Amino acid sequence: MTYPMRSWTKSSVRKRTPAIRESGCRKMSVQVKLFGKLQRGLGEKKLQIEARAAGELLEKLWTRCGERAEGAGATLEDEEEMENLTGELRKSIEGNSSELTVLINGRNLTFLDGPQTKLEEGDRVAIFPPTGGG
Amino acid sequence: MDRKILRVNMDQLTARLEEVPEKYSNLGGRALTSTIVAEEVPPDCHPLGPNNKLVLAPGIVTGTMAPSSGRLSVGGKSPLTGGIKESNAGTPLAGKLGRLGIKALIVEGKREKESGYYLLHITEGNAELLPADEWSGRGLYEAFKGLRGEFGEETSFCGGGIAAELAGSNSGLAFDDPEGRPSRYAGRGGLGSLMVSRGLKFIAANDEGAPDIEYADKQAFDEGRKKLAQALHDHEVTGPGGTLNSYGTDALVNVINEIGGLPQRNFSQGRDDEAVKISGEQKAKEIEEGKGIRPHKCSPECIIQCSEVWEPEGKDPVGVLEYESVWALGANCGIYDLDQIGELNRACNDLGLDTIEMGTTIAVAMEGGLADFGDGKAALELLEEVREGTPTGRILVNGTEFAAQAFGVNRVPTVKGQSMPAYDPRAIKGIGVTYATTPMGADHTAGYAVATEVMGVGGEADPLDPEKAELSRALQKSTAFIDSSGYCLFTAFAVMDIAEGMEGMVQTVNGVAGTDFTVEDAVHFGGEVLRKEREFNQAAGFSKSDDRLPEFMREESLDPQGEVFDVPDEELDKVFG
Repeated sequence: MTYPMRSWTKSSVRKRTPAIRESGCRKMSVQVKLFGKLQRGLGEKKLQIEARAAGELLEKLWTRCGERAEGAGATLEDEEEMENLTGELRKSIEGNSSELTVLINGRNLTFLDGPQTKLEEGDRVAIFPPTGGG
Repeated sequence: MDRKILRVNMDQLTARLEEVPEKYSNLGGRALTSTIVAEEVPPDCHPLGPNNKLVLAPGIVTGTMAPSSGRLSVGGKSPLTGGIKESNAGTPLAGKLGRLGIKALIVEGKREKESGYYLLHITEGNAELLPADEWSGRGLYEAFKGLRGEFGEETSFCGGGIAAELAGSNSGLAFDDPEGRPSRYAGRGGLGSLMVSRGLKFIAANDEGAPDIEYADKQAFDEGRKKLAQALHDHEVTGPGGTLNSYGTDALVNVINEIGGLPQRNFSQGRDDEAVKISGEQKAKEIEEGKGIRPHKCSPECIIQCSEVWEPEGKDPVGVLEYESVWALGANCGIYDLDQIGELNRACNDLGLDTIEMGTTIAVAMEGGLADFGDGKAALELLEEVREGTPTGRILVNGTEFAAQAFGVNRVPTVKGQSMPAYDPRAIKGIGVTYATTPMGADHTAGYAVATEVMGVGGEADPLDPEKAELSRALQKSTAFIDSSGYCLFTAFAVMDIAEGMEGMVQTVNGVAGTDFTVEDAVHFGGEVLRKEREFNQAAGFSKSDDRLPEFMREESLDPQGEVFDVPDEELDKVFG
């Protein structure tokens, strides 16, 4: 079938070799921008998170989601939606295909080193729920 | 009820019904407009001369209650590109024409402006041409309101505005939304001036008393409809409370800006932190605070409901502010204020202008020194020049390439004379391959590679990878099928991810047309539409050298990604090679 179903494009995905980055041990403080439903879910548009790599950053975000889901300040309309969000974050942490788009300096994590992608001071991290339009 | 072709001859002022030739029986929407144009319009004719024709066709399932199926295709030889054109809109008029049994409406002949403008009024079993001169030179909001008052709320309209009367090659065809605003557009390619140059200013249709649509296989249709509706409901992008429903198409501003592909100030940069001020999130917040209504639907059949009504207090209502319009009249002109963008969008709707082409035209005018980037008031004044028909206005109404030449600007973001939409192909290369190779001129909807490259819909592909011929080809074929079916292209977000949805879509087409298409057949069907369109363009004088992006995109790198458009010509030629 030539229709670009997920199975078709997966087999033809080509990734650019990510730029080699310094793998320092120091934790970097990175500003994370959240968009769409994630703003509602976490109650914030921007967060400051310390992490060495993308996976660690997402793990901390996952924990924060869990805390909000249990806390009185949860802003998502229902638990199911929060569960979906944490589930998608978990997929990204484990390097699996996720509905979330995680961008480091405008590049999708999928096309960098996945959760192992190192972070540097001043990196621009943006996370989106599924987007569409045109 | 057998569907018919309604042929309107503007030389003789006649409208007559014709039987549908057997060879057209399985066609609808884009497949039908492009086939009729290819067969009846000489490819080398002048787009505004006596031999061009305007063809309108509802999609195959349009007129039924299939979800999000209220699309109407409009075709002809484009005054903007000089090639074949299909542009489609979601509007109540689409379903009404479908239920009235109009498989295609062909407008031919040409009247001189001095002999007056007409309105074609279509009702069950009747079509007549009525004088419409009183609306000449007046804005479309006023005209649509007046016509709705005269013909009643059950009548839907389309029409060309002042831009079309000026023979502007950037004049769209305006359609009404369910409340009668001229806010839905078959905007691209100058089809407004094609219709108005025939002497036809408006089309009006009322389907009261029309019989039900006949189905070849109602059971297959119903099964398919349910599968498709379920897929649209279940998908995060198209479902209730999903991205499109919550934020509209403008949800894309932030993500495209973040990846560095949102053109700023005439394609001179790919990202600006100011863009968050015109994002879908910001617009939804302002609407919630009282600046309009959301969600809203463009046509009664729509279940995605990505539309809205932008109506700040004390201002006249606009209708929807789409992502493309917000970008073109906003970021691409350095304007980051939704209120100003709303006013510019309303002026475009009122004058009958395509917002994408007008935004990119204003941007080259700004680069050419007619106004400063970011000056929304000056941009509005430029639009008023169109209304007044001044020499500057007459330049602006003819599109980006024409204006760039007039104002001495070399950064001209066009392909085949049509300006690029809201994705810079240096940062998202697959969409650049579509811009270059589609028969339509730069058109994102013709093969929306952004879905796969940025959103991960239908798979994942690195936006910076230049090998995109296969992706663009597959998307262009499937899109040509969807554009023919009558479904909104946004159904693709769901059906590319949910196989049952795509099966359901094809089943509904079979249920109406009596075909036995498989999903693979549907893709082949789309390929045939493209073949006819490319053959028309070749006969009109297009060659491989027209399937290219402008030189500056290979020479000037785009910040912040620092990329040029590096897709080799051989890769572009592979799309249809």
